[in-house]
Amino acid sequence: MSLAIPALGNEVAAYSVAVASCLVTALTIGWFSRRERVNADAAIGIVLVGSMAWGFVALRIYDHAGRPHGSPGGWDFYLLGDVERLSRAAMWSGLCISAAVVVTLAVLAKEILFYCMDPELAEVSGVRAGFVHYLLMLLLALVIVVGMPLTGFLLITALLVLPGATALVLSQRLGTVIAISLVVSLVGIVCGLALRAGPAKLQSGPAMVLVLVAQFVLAYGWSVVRRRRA
Amino acid sequence: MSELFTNPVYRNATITACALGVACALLSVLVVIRR
Repeated sequence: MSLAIPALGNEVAAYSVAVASCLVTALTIGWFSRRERVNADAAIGIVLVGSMAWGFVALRIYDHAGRPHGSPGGWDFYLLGDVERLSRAAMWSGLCISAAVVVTLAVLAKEILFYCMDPELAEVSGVRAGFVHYLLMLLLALVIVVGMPLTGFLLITALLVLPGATALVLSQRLGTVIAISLVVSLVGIVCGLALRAGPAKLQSGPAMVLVLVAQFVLAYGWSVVRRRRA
Repeated sequence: MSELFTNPVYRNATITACALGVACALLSVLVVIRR
């Protein structure tokens, strides 16, 4: 886009366009998944490969035009992330968006939880199911955009699944599940960053994901042992 | 480990990543309980 509109060549504009395109992608997936002709998994698959293919083609076009606004970075940065290249704009947007996500979830906790546990019952009970559905898609898209420089867009999904999955293996109480999920997520992130900052200089994304996977395996093993003893 | 809090690059990344981690932890609970 910066080739067609040179004003989009700076970092903040490029980041804003990335956020906007992720929101459009999320709304597209949300729209497809609410229609019965295409299920959610197929919609995610179609939009994901379409976006990735367009990314490869757009990068090639940008290279061919002589990179007028500088190097966009290698594919490993987009796929796996690199904390050492986290810009100040990315840091502040990460903090603001994370805070906005937490506040939104806190304010609409009742409606969102009801919708996630039983969408049909929630809808007949007066919960605005369409609004909550698209809101969740938007929140997930925003978190994926701000998490991309840290873990890459391939591995950010691990942060959106593993803490909750690990917590659900250990407990069925909502308050406990949320508390465990927070601890698991923060342990994974801090240990992953420590491995990046350490002498081995591991990539931050894979390091965080491996710590999260290790916690899930331990939690699952512990839950199996506990069930056998009971 | 101390470099996370002394090196400005890692300190900024740690603060951002922890904020993101809290948001992701809450969203991940919704993702896994969603039917």
